[in-house]
Amino acid sequence: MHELSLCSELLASLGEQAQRHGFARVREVWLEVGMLSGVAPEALEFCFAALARGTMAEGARLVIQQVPAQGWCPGCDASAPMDSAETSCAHCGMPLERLAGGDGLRLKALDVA
Amino acid sequence: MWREPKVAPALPETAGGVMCTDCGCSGTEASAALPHHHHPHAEAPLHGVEETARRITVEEDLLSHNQRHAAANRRWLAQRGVLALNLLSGPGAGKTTLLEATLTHLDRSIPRAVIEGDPQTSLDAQRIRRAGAAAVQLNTGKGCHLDAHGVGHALEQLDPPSGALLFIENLGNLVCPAAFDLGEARRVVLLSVAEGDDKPLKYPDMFLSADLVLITKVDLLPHVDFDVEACRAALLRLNPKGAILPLSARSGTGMAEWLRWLRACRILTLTGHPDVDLSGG
Repeated sequence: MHELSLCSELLASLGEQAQRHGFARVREVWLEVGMLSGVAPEALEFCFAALARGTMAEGARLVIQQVPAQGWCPGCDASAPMDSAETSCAHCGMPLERLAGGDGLRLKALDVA
Repeated sequence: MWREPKVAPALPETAGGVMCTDCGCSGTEASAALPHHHHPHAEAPLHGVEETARRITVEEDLLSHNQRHAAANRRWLAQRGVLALNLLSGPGAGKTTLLEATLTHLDRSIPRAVIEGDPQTSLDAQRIRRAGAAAVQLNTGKGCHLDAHGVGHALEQLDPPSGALLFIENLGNLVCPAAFDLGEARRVVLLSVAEGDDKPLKYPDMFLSADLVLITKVDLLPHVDFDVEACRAALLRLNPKGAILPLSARSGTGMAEWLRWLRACRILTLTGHPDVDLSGG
């Protein structure tokens, strides 16, 4: 949701990194997208390509890794990964509760020139 | 008398973390800036820097922008002893009408203020002022939700007194506003009986985030197919801890319970605050 405004922030962040590290072009943008973040990788790619035109990130490739959340089953008292908010425990079928992670969008690294 | 600030969509924060250097407001005035975006334009390589390929580690959280502003709002409200409620629903569920009825029946000793959010017009802020409360209208233009940044500016403009109930009426939208913490103490989601009892199933994120779900316009029940018990069961499956209250601002059903819940929230949140007198209830 709101991938356009997220890409706008991403590009601003790339600008700051360029000032800090002194590079002229971005070749690859490494992102970690939480599976419960509501962010759709395809929408990110589309919006990024559109917004990056005419900037130093034009043509840059998004390298996206999707990460699960750490969930917990109240029935089994055990943790298990969650790839969606509706994930159920594989053992007892109870809905998992999100403990940590899986809901972020992180800019991990850049390949620049 | 009241300015109508425009809410800029999520703006990138600078590396220094200073709020609003991009939209020009200092953080002490409401932003009247038109929506605008910033992105870096193609720059010539810095002199003396070779074009060598390299990997730069960044590790930056891109979703934290709104959360930082929400946390700042929450601190601001707590310091002043103001109880903020975020009212959410689809368009036309009855948020403004509920506020008008609430302001009319709320004990006079309780200060109150309202932040209104709509894509366009100040119609709702005008209704609130006619109901006797101070209101600031935020217009988001093409934006689909209120965000903590815009609400922060509105808070400073509105300047609610200690002990106040601050109602934030979000945009009529069951999708996007759910994801944006405004710094509120409580979330109230309205679902009218004319909208269908399956909405909690279709919009789980919104209903999951609610502290209280109001099933509104119950005076219309004879005229619509709305299964209150089925809706209640669906809501409880989603969030066993949430409260559910059917009401009608028009007929008065449930209004006494709603006002009691508001008074209870005030007591829970504001007890012990040095500047708040809760003896009026």
